[in-house]
Amino acid sequence: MVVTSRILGTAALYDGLYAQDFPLYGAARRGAPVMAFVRIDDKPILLRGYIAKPDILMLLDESIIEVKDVFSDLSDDCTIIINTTRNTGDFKDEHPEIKDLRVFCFDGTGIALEYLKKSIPNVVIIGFLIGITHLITIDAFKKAVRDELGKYPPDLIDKNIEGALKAHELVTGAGVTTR
Amino acid sequence: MIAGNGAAAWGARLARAEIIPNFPITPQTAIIEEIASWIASGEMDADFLPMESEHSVISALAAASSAGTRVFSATSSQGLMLMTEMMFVTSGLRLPVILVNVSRGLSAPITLWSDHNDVLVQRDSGWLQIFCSNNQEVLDSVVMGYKIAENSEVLLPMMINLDGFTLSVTREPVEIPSQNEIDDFLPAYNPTHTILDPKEPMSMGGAVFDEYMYFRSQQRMAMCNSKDVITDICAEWGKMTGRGWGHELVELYCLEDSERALLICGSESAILKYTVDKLRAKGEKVGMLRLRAMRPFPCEDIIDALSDVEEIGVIDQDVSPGSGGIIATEVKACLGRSVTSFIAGLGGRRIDAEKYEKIFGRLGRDVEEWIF
Repeated sequence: MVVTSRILGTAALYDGLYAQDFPLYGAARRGAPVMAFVRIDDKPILLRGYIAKPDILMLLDESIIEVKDVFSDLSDDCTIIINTTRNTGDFKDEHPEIKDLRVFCFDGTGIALEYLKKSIPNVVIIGFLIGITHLITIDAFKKAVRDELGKYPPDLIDKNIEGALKAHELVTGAGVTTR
Repeated sequence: MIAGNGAAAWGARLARAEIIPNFPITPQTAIIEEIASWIASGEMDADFLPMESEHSVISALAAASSAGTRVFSATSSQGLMLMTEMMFVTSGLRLPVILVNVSRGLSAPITLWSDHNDVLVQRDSGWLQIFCSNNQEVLDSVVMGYKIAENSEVLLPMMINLDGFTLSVTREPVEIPSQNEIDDFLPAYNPTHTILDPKEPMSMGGAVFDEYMYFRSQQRMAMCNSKDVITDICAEWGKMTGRGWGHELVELYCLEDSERALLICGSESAILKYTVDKLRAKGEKVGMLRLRAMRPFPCEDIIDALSDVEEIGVIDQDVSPGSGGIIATEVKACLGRSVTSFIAGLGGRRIDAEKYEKIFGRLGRDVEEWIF
């Protein structure tokens, strides 16, 4: 999650935008609930601290819903991206509080398993996000992944990018409305 | 994209700090870790001294500075408290030590979040105290800090504060000046006033009687001198980098025609600026003064900036129980008039733009109000 936010922040900077990213967690151990935040703007960013009403909410692990009330008090124009094997219709049926919001379910873990052989969809999900929002460019994204994953083997970095591009293709190929 | 902790480490690296005594404490540890990795990779030429406590860290800082080296370390909260005894020794010996504090509320109960009580406990220790509002300012202030502290008119240690979490782990764009540029700006430390040299032995900090008061008055004079030195060095830095820091001791925001103003220090000022912009767009004449320097206390600048403002409020992310907001108390004494004192953001409790808007609506009363 932290890496995901850092890639987004760095990519926005490469795109000539202003950015701010930061994590928020209690126990510093793998598997503990983690939140990370990114602000992107075309002018210097004055706001600080956690984002109470995000424009985009991404859930990397849907089990977070069981331990934290992530869907309450969202703004009406919030876009939600959820890594899940369920489809959007079923998901909205189970969570009526988000039935009027733009919700996109996608199987990021499936793609990660295919490309990385590991259930780590943290970079893959960004491809899906770009497909839906065009928040950052693909070129900036690729550069940012190489920066932020720099300490990992080049092969693993390439596979993460390939997985993300596959996720991106899922959106663009399906003709989902983009902005 | 660099976090506040990284920016502090870069400041020490660019200033070519040579001795880094250290002890880990959240949320500061990433500063020391970054420096450790640079020393290990050969990117930074310095001695990394892991100590057994913060008391030892500040003792080593003072000792190494006495031997004529440029020193750096960072701490936080309880760690800063443990340094207290030696803080006074360091300023009394007139050693230009640079110490970064990542502000964090004091125990008990335990919090890891930002709060200014840790810094303000050291308010009277004879150290220069600078509060930063963003990560660029952290890097810039550390480099400038050495030039200010080592100035022969000053020769005092400096504490540079950055807020835990809101700056320490938050990444934002930071420009890193080139090493050549910094080498021109900041020559090597060349102490002439006090140096431990076996060839020319010198006694430092010995027992005195009546002379004690003379030494303290010298410290006071150095603090007074530092105001002009800070202003001059900030101007020089601004010329070199294109980044001045407002009015150097204070930053003024939309104060020219303000009817109401809030005084604040630290990174929360950014959200306050956002609120000022929002209220100004609605036609409200509001403004902000950010205290960059807590010591020396920029009383003249505050009077100049706020004397025509009708209603003034002070935000304290600290409290002296039984007295009130520490900064509000100082501002009242400086202005000689009443201000509305707001205690807010203790232990990192969130103050969002809506809360600042509410605060602007509650000025004009000589009271202390807690904003939960």
